[in-house]
Amino acid sequence: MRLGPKLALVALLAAVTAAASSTARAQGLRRFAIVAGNDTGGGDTRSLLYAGADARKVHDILTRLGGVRQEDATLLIGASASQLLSAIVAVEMQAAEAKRHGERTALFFYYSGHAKDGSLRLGETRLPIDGIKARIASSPVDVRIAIFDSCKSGSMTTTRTKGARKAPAFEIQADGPRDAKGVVILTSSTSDEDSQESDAIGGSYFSHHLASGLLGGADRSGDGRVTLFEAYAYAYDRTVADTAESAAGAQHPTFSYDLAGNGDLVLTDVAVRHEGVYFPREAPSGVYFLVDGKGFVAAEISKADGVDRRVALSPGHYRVKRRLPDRLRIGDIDVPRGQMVALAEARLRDAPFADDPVKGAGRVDLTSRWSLGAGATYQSVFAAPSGASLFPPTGMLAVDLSLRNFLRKDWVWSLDLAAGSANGVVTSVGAPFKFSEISFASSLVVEWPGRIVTPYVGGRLAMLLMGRTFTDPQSAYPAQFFSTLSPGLVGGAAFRIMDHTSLVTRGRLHYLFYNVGEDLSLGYWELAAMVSYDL
Amino acid sequence: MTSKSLLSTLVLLAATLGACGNYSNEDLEYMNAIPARDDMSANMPRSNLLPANEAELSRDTHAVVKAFNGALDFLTAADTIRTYQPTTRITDGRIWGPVPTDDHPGWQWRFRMTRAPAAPEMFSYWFEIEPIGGTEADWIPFINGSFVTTGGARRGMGHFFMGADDLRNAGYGIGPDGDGNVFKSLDVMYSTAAYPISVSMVLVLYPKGDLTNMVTITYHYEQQANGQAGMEFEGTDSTTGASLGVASRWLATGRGVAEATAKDGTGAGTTWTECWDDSFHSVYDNKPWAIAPALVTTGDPALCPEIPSL
Repeated sequence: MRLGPKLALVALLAAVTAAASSTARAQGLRRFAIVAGNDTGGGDTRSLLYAGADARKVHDILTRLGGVRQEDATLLIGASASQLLSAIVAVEMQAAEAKRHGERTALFFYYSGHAKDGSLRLGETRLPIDGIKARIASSPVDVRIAIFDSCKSGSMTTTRTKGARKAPAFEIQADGPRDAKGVVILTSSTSDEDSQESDAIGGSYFSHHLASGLLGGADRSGDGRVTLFEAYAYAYDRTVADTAESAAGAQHPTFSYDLAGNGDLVLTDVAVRHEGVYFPREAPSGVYFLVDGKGFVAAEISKADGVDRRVALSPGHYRVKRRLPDRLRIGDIDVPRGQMVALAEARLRDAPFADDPVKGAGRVDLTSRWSLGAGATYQSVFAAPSGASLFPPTGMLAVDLSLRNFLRKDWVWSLDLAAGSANGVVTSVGAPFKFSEISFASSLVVEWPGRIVTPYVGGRLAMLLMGRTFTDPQSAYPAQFFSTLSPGLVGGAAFRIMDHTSLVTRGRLHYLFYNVGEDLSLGYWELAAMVSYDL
Repeated sequence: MTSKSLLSTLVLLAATLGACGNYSNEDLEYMNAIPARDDMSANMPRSNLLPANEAELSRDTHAVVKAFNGALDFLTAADTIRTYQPTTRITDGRIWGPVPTDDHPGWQWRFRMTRAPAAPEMFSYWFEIEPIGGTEADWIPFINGSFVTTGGARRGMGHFFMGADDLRNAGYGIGPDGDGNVFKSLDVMYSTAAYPISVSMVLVLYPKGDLTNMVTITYHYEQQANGQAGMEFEGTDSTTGASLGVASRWLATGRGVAEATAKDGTGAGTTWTECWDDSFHSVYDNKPWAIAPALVTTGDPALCPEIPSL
């Protein structure tokens, strides 16, 4: 039988009250992590937007707070089934080596992506769910914790029949004669539910709340350490609550376990870095959103009356929001490196809902990602008083490298390089010439992502290197060159034609300052088409 | 300063700092107005014959063409200037140099061009020389000229005057040519606007270096697009010593005809006609003032080419 979520919660609540959490017990455990995220699941699925981002977030938490060393953590974004299996094999070898040295081992396996028809979908490749379960179950690792954030992922737990013990169901003792051994599987939804993503929080509900819990929101005991149970319970409560009113219906995370021995497994130690935001006991209860400088929800903390909370955040600037029935309470807070900053209610001010920093503007991808494009550009300088034959219209080949959502949500910073040549004639003297141009530019645009079409506008600064040689040997004119910085505007649209591939069209309008012999304010326009591939 | 104007200033400053180069159509227009030696050189196929075997008037024409082109050697410097970007861009003008002269240590040259704002198709230029370290007032004009462009590659009408007396008086040595003659001046008018291109030249020399005496030589040259060309010049009859006015015309292959009219002496007012083939052998010769045993007429006039007068 499968342990239903409600029953599981009851059992776990009982367990945690009986368990004496011990940091010492968590020590001496060599922890490995395989964290995988894949937005794509093949042709019969619709691309996800946040699977990669969720994986990155979990990977960051595990390596920062979860006792997983960087060299023991494997992050796979957009990986295939074979790459995922290879990573598991590699970790098993590391774990076996660690065991030979007398270390106890734990594997934290996290997958965010599509699952359909009995298989995990990793891009165009598939990995049978039964196969991955069997593989994890047979791994030579003492404690295996697998988390699946995918649609109908509850099927991962439906064959598990063990673990319906009332107490101490979730305690994993990491040393001593009763050291835990076995498998724990958490899923984001039941076997007949979809796992939902939220544009507002920039991730899946389950992973978002699991991450928030691991950052400290789930530290129900207030000891600065988040156990597996606490994290699951927190993610369960918050996920069900957030999805109850959604069109797809409530989403219920599940778990199953097959453990021998007992103990309590500390997943993250919020206090270890002593860096983040501290919500004092007297702070009003409610759900607090901590939005980072890029507009992403770094953590969502549900605070009860009379308890305090520590949320381990990376150093940086955060906007804090708490929602009241008729208004928001908003404030800003800076987290210096190595400091836990107390959030006083006085830091917050009343604000209308229109000022909500967590807006959720459609299906947007909040992950920072690179894309590489290549294509063709046609450039033409507006006719100049000194003659249209100054700079001839030129076809150019172009490549560009873009980084999305790094500086700010929906901002795209790009570098592009283009080169081309054309033939022209200086009509006033009848001199034919070969014109060459190289442009190197940086642009910053704002885009409005859509499912198919993503329009964008922005600014661009180009360094133009232009030259010409005269092809009539009788003319004997020396070669000429000109270089200038050229500011301009850019606008266009990207049309998604495949999962990672878009067709991009754009126009540019640039100012061109010309100062050889005379000062002229010229301009040029460009039209371009290129294919862009998300890396 | 408002933030808006500050931003505009910064953008303009960035663009100005970033803008540099020599990419200029106007520079080309100045360079295009510089006279080119090739545009004015006379083109006549060369003769491989020994002088004794070549038609006499063909031989004289070859000699004149050589002298004509030799007088244009001074334009080699102008041809060199055209291959360099101007050193200085001034309002409605360009300056190349100053540059030390290669063959006269202690001297430097510059080439200055201007164009009239009201008539931008007209260019004026000066090739000037002065001792290194001299002032603006010390520049001595060696060449001054003008060019009116009609559009296209070096197409237009021009004139330049080359005078050596001022330079020579300032101590800039100008030696004699191979015949011992010393250059005084060269006055050239030319038109390359359309075919036939034409060049008229008045060359003044001090014969054998005698600065108290002058010899004036005039040439007029025309050339069609198909290589047909002609030269008018003055000469002296080798047998009578009479002054001759010669009009020589030839085809691109070399075949030609010359008519020499005696201006004085024996045969004055009569015309000597000689034709030659592509090998410059005489095919027809009619010299009214021929003295026996020389024949007045030899060859067949039907072998003379039909070449219109210049």
